[in-house]
Amino acid sequence: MSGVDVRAQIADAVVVATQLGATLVLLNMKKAQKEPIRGENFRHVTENLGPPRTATCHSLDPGSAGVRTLAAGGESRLSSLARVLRSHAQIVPCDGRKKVGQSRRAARRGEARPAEGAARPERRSMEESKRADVYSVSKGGEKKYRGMRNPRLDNVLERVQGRDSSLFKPSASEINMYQRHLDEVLADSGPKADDDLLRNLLDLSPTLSEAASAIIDDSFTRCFKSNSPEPWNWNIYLFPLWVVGVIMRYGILFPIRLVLLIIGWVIFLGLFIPIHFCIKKHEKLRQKLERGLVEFICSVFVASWTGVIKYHGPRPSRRAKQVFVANHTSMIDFIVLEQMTAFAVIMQKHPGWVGLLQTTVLESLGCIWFNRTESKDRMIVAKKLKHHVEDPDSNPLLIFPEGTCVNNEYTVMFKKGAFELDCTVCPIAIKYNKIFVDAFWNSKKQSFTMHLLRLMTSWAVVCDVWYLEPQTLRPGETSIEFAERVRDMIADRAGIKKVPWDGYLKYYRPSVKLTEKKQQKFAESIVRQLDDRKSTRSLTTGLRDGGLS
Amino acid sequence: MGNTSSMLTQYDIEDVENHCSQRFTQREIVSLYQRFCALDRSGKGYISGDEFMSVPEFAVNPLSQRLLGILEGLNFKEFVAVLSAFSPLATINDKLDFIFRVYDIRNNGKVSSEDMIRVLRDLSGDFLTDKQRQAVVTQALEESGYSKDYSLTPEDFLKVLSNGGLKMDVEVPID
Repeated sequence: MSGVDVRAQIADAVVVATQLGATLVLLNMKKAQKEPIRGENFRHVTENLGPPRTATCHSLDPGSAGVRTLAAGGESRLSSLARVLRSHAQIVPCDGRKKVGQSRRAARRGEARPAEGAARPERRSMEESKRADVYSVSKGGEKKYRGMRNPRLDNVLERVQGRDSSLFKPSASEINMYQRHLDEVLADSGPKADDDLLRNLLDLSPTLSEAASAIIDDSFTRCFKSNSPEPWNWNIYLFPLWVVGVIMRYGILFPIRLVLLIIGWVIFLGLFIPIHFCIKKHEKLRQKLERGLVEFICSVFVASWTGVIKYHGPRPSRRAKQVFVANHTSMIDFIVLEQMTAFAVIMQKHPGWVGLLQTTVLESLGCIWFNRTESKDRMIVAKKLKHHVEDPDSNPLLIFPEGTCVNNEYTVMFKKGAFELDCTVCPIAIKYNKIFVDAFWNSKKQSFTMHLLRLMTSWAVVCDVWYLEPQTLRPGETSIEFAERVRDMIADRAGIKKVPWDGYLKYYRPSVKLTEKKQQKFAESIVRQLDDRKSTRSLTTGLRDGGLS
Repeated sequence: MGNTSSMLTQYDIEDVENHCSQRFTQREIVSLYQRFCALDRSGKGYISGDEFMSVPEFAVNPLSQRLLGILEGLNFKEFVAVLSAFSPLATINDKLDFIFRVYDIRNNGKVSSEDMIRVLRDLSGDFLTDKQRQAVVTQALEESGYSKDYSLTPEDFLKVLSNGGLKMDVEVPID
């Protein structure tokens, strides 16, 4: 009787599963077919007209901008508020609702720019009036603005390094370089004195074209776009295979990996803690053991996502006066590199369990922490860096000069801090293969835990690491040029494109100084025109009077 | 928004194309749609001011606030219609209309010298005094034969700006 029962139960289960599977398949197929019901999928973009247009003052009052964008969100408002109140874990659903990021950014903007309480009907010309004068950049000559960025503007903008509260403020030498570029760019332009003044005033076309080209396409946003993979499983014969794959990954591989990880951690902590606290006398031995252990735990991590990592080039050697730089895609870059050589890394202090790890384990390696949002931090960190590099016993220092995670298709500008330490710079290029999973960590979209979980439930993480030839500062080269040269090497080897934007623009608006310089140029040209006219007028009246008298 | 092109049907593209008077080709419209979805991160159906300002190159532009006033909160159809002034296929009237729109915030069909002063303030920041701005605008109007308090109409814009040709084209990248 029990046999019949069991068989009946199995039969029931099979029937239910088939029905479920069939419905899922049908749903997927329906999605794939995309019946051309007019406007069905499009309605939200053709009929939704957005918030009432009278609410034009939200950009005048930065503090409330975040709240208003929350309010416009509609049904996810409560959940968004809940997320805002929580400190860091930004577990956002895959459709990328970024309410938290927006309101945090709005809040930060509220701090950075004190709320301007101006008259609402007056549309924002006074308050936000620090603007770049692009008026004179492209006057004269056929200048068609492609959707890509204006390359001349690139040269100008690439020298600006973010706002005052960022770690690497533009130094005097950088502002000088910026000014030189600006002068070059503006040298052949500017309204001529005998042009029609009214026409010069009314012709906004260069400025507007720049703005439109920025809206239509800009390379900065592209750097941080995580390209979600195209679904391949919406087919009647592929779908079951995909389901089998999902079951295997989540049901079989993930638990195995988790167990492996836990065992690895247990062994690591079990050995690390005694070694750290007990062997105080033999420093060298302790450090060697700790390094070995960290390399071990990193290998465990890599194994936990089935990392297939190929290392090319000579392994780094321990020497004084040596710094390693690499392009940055995710925090796992550090783990991937650490597995081979125990580096001391400099990175942002994170909250949560990552922060705990940072302060305990990684500090024994000599890692250095900074806080992006504190400006005084910069001096302290620079001193620590110098001190570290000069000590021959310390672990080789690894720096990610981009300062932020980029999506591994582009590199953003390298900050020059790493290149002014008066050492050889050894570049490392890292390139992830997206075949199974995209290793780009979009820190605004998911927390590190979710990111790790995503990696652990994928088939494998495939990546290439190239150790490139050490470089030194050439005579007559500035540290910015040196940084660019190294960036060229890394981008070349990894096969990724370069973009001259500062990664910190992810967190901060571009510096106001940039736009002020251009406004100044424009204002000067206007004043010049006025003066010219005054002088010609006085000349003619003088002549006339002279003629009469 | 991963697979955005699958959400656009031929109907929709043609609808948008007609709305912008065929200034953009269908491929460009698809490209613009992908861009619109990329900028509209939370999938609301319109792009908010914040999202525009997160593009650094736009944020640095002098007229970004004015353009925000025109562009934010628009759905995709309107967005393409507004941007169609920048298409190479747009007529000079389209472009002039756009420029006029940027000037004429109060939407009363005329651009007074006050409006011009305001735009000048955006472009020049604090580097010109109020007096200088007033002087420039007055001078410009008088030189072109208008009185000091004259409010410009679109026809005047046409007269002033059309002789040199207006170079206001942007190319939409098609991948």
